[in-house]
Amino acid sequence: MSISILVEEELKAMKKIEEMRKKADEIRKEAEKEKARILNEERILREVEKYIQEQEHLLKKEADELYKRYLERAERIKNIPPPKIEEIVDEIIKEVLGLE
Amino acid sequence: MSSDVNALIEEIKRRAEEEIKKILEEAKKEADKIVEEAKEEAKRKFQHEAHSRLLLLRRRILGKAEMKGRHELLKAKEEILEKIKEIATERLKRIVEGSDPRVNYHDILYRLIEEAAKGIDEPEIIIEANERDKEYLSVNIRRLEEQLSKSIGKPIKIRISDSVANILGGVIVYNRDRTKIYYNTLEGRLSETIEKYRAILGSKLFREFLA
Repeated sequence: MSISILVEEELKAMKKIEEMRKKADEIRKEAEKEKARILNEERILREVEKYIQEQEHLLKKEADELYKRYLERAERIKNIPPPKIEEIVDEIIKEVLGLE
Repeated sequence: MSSDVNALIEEIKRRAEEEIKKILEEAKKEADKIVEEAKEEAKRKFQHEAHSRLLLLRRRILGKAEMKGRHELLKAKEEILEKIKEIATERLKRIVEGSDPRVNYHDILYRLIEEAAKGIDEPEIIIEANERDKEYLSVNIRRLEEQLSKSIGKPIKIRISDSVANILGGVIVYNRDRTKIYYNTLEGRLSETIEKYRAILGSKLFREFLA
């Protein structure tokens, strides 16, 4: 009587373990599915595209700033004070006339 | 049931639970590893693809702005150089006309001839000049010849060309068969000086105003 009870308990335990092994396989299969989803080329490219669009927006802002800085520099050059220009002209005239 | 049998049953259950726990833990660990590795690989692929595209995009967008900006800067510099050239030309006109008391144009003219004569290095030179300078040179030709011969250290004969040069001032000097020509006009010298100054002006003039 005792032995049959023990055998029955052992069989129940083995069955539970077997069920858990199947569940473990399911967990691995799910992980593989998730891996395939994560590594999906199209998904990655979509994310890249989204990222590039965001960056393009930022780069355009940066480009505008850069161009603006050049325009400001150009404006400063155009507004060089006349005495400074006269000073340069003096030097040039001296050289043209060989007076140096 | 005896207490021994009960103890054995409990032991069977305990071992089974332990085994189940181990199986589940290992499976979860493996699953986590699979997902983590996939995330890492996806990140690498993303970075590889995004990096090269971003680099191209950056070069295209910022490169274009940089080019446009440099063009504006260059235009501004050219404008200023042109202005300098205009003012300098006006000043030269005044000098040539004798309206600038600080400069004796005839002395300058002689020096330009002297420089050209030395460059040509011939016993006879022909001088081409504008109408006004031609008149002055014709009147003073003997004196100039003497002065020049003395300066060069050998006799030199000067002839004034019949042609009239359409120049602001200065001279064009050549030998008899025109194999040697020395352009020493004020316009030429001005352009040359502006060109020479272009780089210097960049650092001397613009840097101060770009700081």
